[in-house]
Amino acid sequence: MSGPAWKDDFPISWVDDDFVTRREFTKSLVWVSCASFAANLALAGRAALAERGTAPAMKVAGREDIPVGGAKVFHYPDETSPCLLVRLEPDRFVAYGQKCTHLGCPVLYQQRTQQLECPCHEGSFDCTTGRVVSGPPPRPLPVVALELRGDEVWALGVSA
Amino acid sequence: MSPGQARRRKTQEITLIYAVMTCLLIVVVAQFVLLLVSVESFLGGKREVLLPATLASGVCFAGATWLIRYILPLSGKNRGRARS
Repeated sequence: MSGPAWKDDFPISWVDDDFVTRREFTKSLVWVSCASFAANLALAGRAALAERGTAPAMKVAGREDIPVGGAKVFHYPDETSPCLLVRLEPDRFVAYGQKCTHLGCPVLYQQRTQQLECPCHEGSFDCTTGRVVSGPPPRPLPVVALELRGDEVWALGVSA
Repeated sequence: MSPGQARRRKTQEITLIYAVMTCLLIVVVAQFVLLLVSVESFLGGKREVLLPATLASGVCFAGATWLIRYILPLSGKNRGRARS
């Protein structure tokens, strides 16, 4: 059991050392996998909670407050969330979150083009669906669910 | 166990670790892609993609934990051998 003298001073076997390093790395991959799954789960949970629609119903406007082709800004479900209500036809109202999904500028209704347009970077959204028509916005505007109750327009919830 | 046998055994174990590591890397990359798709669909409002992506990610995680059981028993044996 005699080896070189330097082995007494440096008793680390590099083979063993590498072995442990690989093993530890492999184990850490499982934690990365766990974290990815947890993040996915959190996203799905958050989406499920958002779909439940916890926003309370709120009266937005009277039917005759807005002319056909007109629009009105309101805040829903809280004061920090501006939304835009548009009267497309006498009995057809639509509402969307007013913040552009690109960089958050307020979108404006253009009756001529039937689009919601963002003046900052010329993004435009379809007024009937909220989907992106052109420009840099990466996703549609949040849609506010509406209900006509007699002569009043009520907001019932927001869905992305 | 003779030194030759021990060395051969260790070589086999390292090969096994490389195999498991490769499989795990593939699983983790797949999970990153799934997470990317989930974030994209969450922000884009296409919520119907989220549940399948989460389930697939869960299957990947289960696969990863199943694979790691080949590695865990090795550690104790080799630590002991390395010290002796």
